[in-house]
Amino acid sequence: MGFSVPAFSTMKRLFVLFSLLSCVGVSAQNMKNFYRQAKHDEGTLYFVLPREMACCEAGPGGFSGSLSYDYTYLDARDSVAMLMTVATDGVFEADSVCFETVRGAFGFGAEPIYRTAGKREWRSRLRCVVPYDLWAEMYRASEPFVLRVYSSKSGAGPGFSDKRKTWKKIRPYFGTLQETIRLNR
Amino acid sequence: MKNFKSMLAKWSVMAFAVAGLSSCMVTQAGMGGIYTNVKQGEGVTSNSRGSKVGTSKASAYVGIIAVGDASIEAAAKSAGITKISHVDSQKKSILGIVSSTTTVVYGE
Repeated sequence: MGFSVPAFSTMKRLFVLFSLLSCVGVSAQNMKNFYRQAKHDEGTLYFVLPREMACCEAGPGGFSGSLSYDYTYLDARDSVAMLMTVATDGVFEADSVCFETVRGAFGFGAEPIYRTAGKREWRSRLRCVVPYDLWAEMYRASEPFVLRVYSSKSGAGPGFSDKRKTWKKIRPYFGTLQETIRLNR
Repeated sequence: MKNFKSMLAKWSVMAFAVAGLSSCMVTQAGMGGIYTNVKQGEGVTSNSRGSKVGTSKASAYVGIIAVGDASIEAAAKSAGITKISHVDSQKKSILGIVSSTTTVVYGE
């Protein structure tokens, strides 16, 4: 009994197969693409690769923008360094940040690393240090925290937060990382 | 149908050619024709390992547009690193359609 498959159908199946194969490495929870771990003289160094947070609220001065951030944690120091790039539509000299969590608001000074002008925005690269316990608690909460930047010259700036869908997706990653940190102490 | 088959074959060959001929995507472990995700070392200095980590990234799309800054300078600048201890990189590519190179700099 003969069975003939049209050539178009075969090509279509191959294309779908290639597309599915390409998704294998992308969709699975892959901690290797989430953070890096390295030995250090003082202990173990963890680095969460850069992520982005959406602007959820423009500042009273009308500043809005985007935020990308990464975390560095050295277990001997027990504090997490958060480095962030805040892009605003005008010059905004941020020098402090506030984390608005379910437990309350926590403010920290932000050290500017550099400021530069983009095509249509100003970018500020900032560093702030957060106690590890607070950082871990923020990522255990069911609701995402809001990160708001402040300037002593311009006042309150834009607020940034993960969307609920993103929060549900990234919480397990941070949970696994915190468990890894606990096991390696 | 013949046109679709011909077009699909041409795009596949182009994607593989772009991925294969793109020198920035060639890694020490070689390059995957369908999927590449390789981390490798780029350099090391005599400076002691620091506690700061910085990254920079460049991306390419469909072998037509390539943008970004994956330089060591940009990565060091992002973390305020002035003494580099070592540099790693991560190269990713999916079917040669979306590719990226991330440079990771460690230092103080």
